[in-house]
Amino acid sequence: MPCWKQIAERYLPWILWRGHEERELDEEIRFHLQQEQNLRVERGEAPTAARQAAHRDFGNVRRVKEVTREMWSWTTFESILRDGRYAFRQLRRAPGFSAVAIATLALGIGANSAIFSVVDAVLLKPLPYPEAERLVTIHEALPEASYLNASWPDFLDWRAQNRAFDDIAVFQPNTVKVRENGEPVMAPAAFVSASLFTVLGTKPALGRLLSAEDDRAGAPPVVVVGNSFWRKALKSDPDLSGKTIEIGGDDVTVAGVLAPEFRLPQVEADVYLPIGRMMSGSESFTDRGNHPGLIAVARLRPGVTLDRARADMNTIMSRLALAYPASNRHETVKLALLPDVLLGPIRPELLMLLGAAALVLLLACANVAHLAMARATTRQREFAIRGSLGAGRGRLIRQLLTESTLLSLGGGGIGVLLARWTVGPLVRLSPYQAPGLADAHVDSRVLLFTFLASLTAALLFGFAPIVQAAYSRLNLSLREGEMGRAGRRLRSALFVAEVAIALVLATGAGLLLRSVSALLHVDPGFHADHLTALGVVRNGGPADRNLQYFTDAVDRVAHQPGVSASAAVMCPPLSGTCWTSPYWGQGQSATGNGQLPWTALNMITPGYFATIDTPLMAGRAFMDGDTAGSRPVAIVNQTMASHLATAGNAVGKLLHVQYSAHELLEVVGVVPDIKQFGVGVPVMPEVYVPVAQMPVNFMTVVVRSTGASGVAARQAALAMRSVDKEQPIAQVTALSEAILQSAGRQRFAALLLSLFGFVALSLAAVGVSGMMAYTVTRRTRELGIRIALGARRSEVLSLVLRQGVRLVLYGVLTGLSLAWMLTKLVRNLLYGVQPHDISTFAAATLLLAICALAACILPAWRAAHVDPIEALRHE
Amino acid sequence: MNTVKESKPDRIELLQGTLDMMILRTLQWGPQHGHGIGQAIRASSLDALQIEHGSLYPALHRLRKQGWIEAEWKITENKQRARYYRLTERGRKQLSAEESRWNRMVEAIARVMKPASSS
Repeated sequence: MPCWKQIAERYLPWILWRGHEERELDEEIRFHLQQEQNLRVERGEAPTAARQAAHRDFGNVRRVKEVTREMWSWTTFESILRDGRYAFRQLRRAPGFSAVAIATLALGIGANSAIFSVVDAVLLKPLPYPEAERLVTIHEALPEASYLNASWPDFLDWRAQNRAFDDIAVFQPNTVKVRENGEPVMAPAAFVSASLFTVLGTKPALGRLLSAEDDRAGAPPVVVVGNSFWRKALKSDPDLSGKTIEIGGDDVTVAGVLAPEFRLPQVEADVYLPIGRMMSGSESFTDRGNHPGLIAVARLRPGVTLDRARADMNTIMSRLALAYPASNRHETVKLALLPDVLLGPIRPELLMLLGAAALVLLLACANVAHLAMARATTRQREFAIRGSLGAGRGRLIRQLLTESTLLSLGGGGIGVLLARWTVGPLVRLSPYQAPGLADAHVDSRVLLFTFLASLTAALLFGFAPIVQAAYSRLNLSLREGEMGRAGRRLRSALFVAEVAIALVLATGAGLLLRSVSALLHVDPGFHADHLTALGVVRNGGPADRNLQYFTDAVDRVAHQPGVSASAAVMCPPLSGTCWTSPYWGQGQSATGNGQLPWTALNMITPGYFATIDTPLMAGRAFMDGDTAGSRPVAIVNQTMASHLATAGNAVGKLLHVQYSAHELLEVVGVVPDIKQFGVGVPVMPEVYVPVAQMPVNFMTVVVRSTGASGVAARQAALAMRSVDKEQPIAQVTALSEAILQSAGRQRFAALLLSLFGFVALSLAAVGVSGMMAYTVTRRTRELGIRIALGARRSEVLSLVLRQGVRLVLYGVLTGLSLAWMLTKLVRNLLYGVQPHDISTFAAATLLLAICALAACILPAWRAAHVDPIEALRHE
Repeated sequence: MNTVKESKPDRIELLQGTLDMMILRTLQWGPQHGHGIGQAIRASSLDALQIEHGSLYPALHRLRKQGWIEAEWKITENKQRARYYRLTERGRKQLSAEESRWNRMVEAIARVMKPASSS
């Protein structure tokens, strides 16, 4: 560490000079004593007597040296070292105390360091884009649809007309078929405007990035690849000249390679293709009313505020609304700073977890404080002796604080190791998508944080024995076992604080566990067990060929052994990738784009509902007879059905769906609501159409297996490969896994809070039990007298228990009021339970009260069985 | 410092700062080592001020830090190495300031203690 070098450079000359000065003082005093002795011998005293007299006259040599040294201004550092050495010896003499204190602190500090590594990587380190605070995301909105991606013609107009931005860019997450080492694989891709890399401030690691020429229709095909893809598929070859990779069957020139740390906001991609060249002719891009998944980012001109940019964009949008009323009359834009978009939802959750970790550390400090107080009481004789040897009160306080700091740094050291081991699993378990998260590790910043946390902890628990001692006349009392009133008060306060903190954490954990349970018990509308989804993206090709592929694949998979059913769907459950469209029902008037409600739009093969085990509520499923040539039909979910027909049957109603291939659809069936966006997200209206009537080039094959879903997935993949061996599979998901993932945030928070709650409960139980046991030991004599005077054991038991119960009660009341205030912080994470849920509060209180009282029982029982004779002999 | 000290009745406890003044005063006559300063103070006070010799050293080092005296290693008549202290110019000024302050205080105390003789 560089700072050690600085310390050494700064202090080493002092230390060396110190030694020199020290030797001179020694010599000076030696000379003095010698001189005095000589003088006395000259006067006729015997040499031995003269030497003794000289020493007596001089006073305590050690003390003189000590005081003289304090006249040298730079004693601090050295005396810290000396205190440190002494403290180390003291702690080694009490290995049990030291081990327990260090272990307790290591738990508390380790938890904080681990969470801080994540907080630091995600929240505190700057985003991997230069001047990220000038980056803005732009999306569109309609009165009935609060989030719409940008439409391509709108984007072109924004770019041409705005005055607020250096430039605007769009990118579209996609998947392309790439031949990698001879094998066709699906690679995550981004179709990006050439302006994207300049907006984000990206520099290539190799070659060049995309230019405006590359981004035009008809330009020679080029690709920019991510660093990991370059290492994997191009074997890290630094020579890019003439390099091509096969993408979607075409050879594409590799223009450049991105730096290893580059990441698109929220999207993973291996290859970056110019969007204008790829898409500008396609219908979905020329239609101004279509919003083909384009994510827009822009860089504010220097000095332009977000508000001014908003005003600028609003002006453009009202101009567009006049020029293109059909698509734009009600459209608005929403701007937000990119850091807020990326980190906004994560920040409160991570800070909440850091706060919970801090509570655990506080509790650990309370435990150690109590231990240190108990130890200081038995050390009063040592302090008294040191005091009479000339150590001042300040000196003794410093000594105690040095011991605390040493313990705390020991705990911090082990804590850092704990953090090192836990950061990896923590990052893997965390549900967040944030740049920087994957890079979280214990670095010098985390070390500094740990150091500061350790010092803070040392101050927190280090003052407890000092406060106690300050009132029991630290250096004069030679009696052991005196416990000042302040000490007793402080001890009670620690007791109450421990119970309160443990209760707060237990309540938080309880609320989140109930949320997780509620989420996992939500009926998703289908049976997820043994259900596997295999995503396939067809790159180009005629629509009927793609449809034929999916039909054949489903058929082939369904006939595999161990597979009971199979179907294909455009937007599988919980994927959140559904298309949406404005709709209106038969007889309901179409009052214009902006006023229309929106529905999800999904394409399926006939066996879909049977495969995912969703029973029809009314009407019929799709059949092979629903083809491109037959009457356009639809199946709607229950929510849509209730919109179409407030009473009675929706089957037979006609439905307009604007972006469907056929605008007018006849409802032939109704199914229960299926969770498309996550188990905790409310269901929106949904319309299913037969894929034969609206073909798409990307679908997911869902497979229901009789055995393990992993085996079935491999079988299905092989079967699909036999249909088209050039067609790779993009991703494989077990839907039961998807259900767990859609409760990911709650599960992560619940896991950590439960862990913290468990640690807190254990620490509190140990602490409370220790404090009670200590009190009983201190009162042995008094209890003995009571018993000797005829007090019954049950009376003694209740005497001690009463004290414990009173403190537990105070702790519970404090904890409940704290929890009442703090649980609001997790409101956004809760599902199916209120922040002030009475039953959770009651359960946590009960759990805590039982633990705390159980911790009191043993000491109380011991008190009741004090042997009066032993007790009176005790002192 | 709460040192437990036994104080003998025939010794006079020194006021804070008085020792400093006496050291400076002693050094007026020329450089001297610690032991010599102690002897000189004891002799000129006719043994009334039996200062603990050890307490000289913190005072000497304090004065040195304040720049009122300087230290130098020299060889004594007995061919021994000893640290000699010498008054600096600043020390000389300090001494005269202390002396006049001391005289004013002594006069004031004398007036309180023996009001008759002052009239």
